[in-house]
Amino acid sequence: MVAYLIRRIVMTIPVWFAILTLVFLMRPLVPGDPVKIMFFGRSTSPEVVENMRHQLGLDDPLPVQYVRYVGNVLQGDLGTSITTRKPVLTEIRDRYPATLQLALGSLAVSMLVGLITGILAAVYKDSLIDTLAMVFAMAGISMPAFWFGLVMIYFFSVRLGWFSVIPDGSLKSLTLPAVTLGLIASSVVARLVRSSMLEILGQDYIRTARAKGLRERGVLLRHALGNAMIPVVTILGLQFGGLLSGAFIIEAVFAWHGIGELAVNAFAKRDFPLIQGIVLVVATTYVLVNVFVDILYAFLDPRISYS
Amino acid sequence: MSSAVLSAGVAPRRPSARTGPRAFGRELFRRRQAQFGGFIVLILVLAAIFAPILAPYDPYELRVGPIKDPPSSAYPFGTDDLGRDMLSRMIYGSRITLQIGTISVALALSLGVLIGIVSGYYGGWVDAVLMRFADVMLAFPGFLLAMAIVAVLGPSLTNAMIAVGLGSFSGFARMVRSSVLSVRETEYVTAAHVLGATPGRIMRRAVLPNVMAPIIVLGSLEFPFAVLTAAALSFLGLGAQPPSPEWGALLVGGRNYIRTAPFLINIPGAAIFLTVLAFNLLGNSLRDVLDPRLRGR
Repeated sequence: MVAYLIRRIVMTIPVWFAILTLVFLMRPLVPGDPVKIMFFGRSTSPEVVENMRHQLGLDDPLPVQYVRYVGNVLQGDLGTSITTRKPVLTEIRDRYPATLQLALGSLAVSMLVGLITGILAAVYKDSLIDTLAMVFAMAGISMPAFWFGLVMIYFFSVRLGWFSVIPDGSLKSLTLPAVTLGLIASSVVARLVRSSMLEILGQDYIRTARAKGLRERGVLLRHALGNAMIPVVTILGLQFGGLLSGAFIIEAVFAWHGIGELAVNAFAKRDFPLIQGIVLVVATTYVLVNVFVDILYAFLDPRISYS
Repeated sequence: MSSAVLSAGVAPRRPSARTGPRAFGRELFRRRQAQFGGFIVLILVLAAIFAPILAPYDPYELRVGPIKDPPSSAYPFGTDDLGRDMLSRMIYGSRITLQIGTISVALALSLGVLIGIVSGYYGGWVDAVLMRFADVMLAFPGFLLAMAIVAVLGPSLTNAMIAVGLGSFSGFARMVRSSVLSVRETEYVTAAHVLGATPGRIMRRAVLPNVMAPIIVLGSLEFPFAVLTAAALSFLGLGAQPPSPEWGALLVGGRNYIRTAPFLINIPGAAIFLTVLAFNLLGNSLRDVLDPRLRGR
């Protein structure tokens, strides 16, 4: 088990370095002169452009730049934002908790709604409940998050006045964005829980549990749900990636001051050090969450062998 | 997914393949999901083809009517903040939507199939290198990868399509590769080898036709994802730029008037939702017909 854990963690190191390399390559891959592109729309003299090129180390050969980039990143230096002149790491650190809050909030919503909908659909298979649950799931998968967010703002903030249109970072203002993102994400969870529950409910040990006279609720909650959760946990990692991506859009809709909003501004202004920093940090989070989920999965399912 | 698609040893023939395209269509559209999805897709395709005939106004013409006029008999979808006819803009936008889906999926498919087949067929270090590359691409959340590619290429509709395609080819590559791995060991591939067929011919004639079913299924499910992602990129200002009538861009234009003219966000929003829903339903039905073993997954 310990060997498995170590192997799983060690395996992520080359993946992370590959991500780091791709992130580094973003700048050299930009067609044209990256410095001129960064100054797009702003009047500059050739000296300023040259200065910036030197400051960013772009006048060195690519391998030199790469080694320096990797060295800096390993020391926690992700460069300086061109637009705000602040260290990229500080910028990201300031915004990261808000995004994490949003992602975790929506994860909670998606698990709660997804589990309830999925279990109901499986227990009442082929009934009206099942059909409605699956219509809900299909609608969720097809829903553009940005539109759904705007509709939520329209109803709950503009019409009903329950929430302020501009969030203040409080738990109350988290509700609307987290519910928006969580409801969309719950559709995937609901479908997975349903199919997983249906498979488990057909097993012999469920029949045994029923035969020995257990109440249906006990059968469902104690015997079926635990086993049905195993594949659900696997998707948790993927789901988290989806939530991080979704957070980018939701933050733009709700003016939530997280990494997503920072990213959209950085992308619009083509602030490359900041863009690279954000892509690296978000991809690293995604990889780490997936490692965590893999390990969790191994703990949850005693049938998995670690050899 | 792919391991269920082919069993080793014999070239599988599905009922649809045996009974021809007409029977396949009948089998597909027997499903209510496919009927609904197909109907919406048909409307979309017709709108795109006949846009110049159907659109009452030039989609770019300013002040064809009052500004932000709510839907009425004169302007069924209302007018936007510059007095442009929303119906005409929506009709022309359907062209862009179909274009986005088709081009992004075509790009993801061709890259993914090429890499998957080469990787699965040759194995060894070729496979190792290509699959590690696919793994790294899969290590990025899809939307972030698309955003990063747009950041490199610059914001535009074309680049958004390229970004969506490049961002999702690795899924195809992985799936095709594992299908190829099982097909590679079959007797008819060995027979083709013995008969002296070149690797290119074997891949084209013996391997590709037998991995088509999962490719079609994944491709049809990729289409709605592409439409959604490209619209989201436009919404963030990284895709289609004004005055393009792309639906995501229309939504951005309308968001400032959420209090006074909510129809400006609801019409394009609902159109994106219905389109994505239609393609999802159609994709699900295709999967059920082409590969009954994947049903319910």
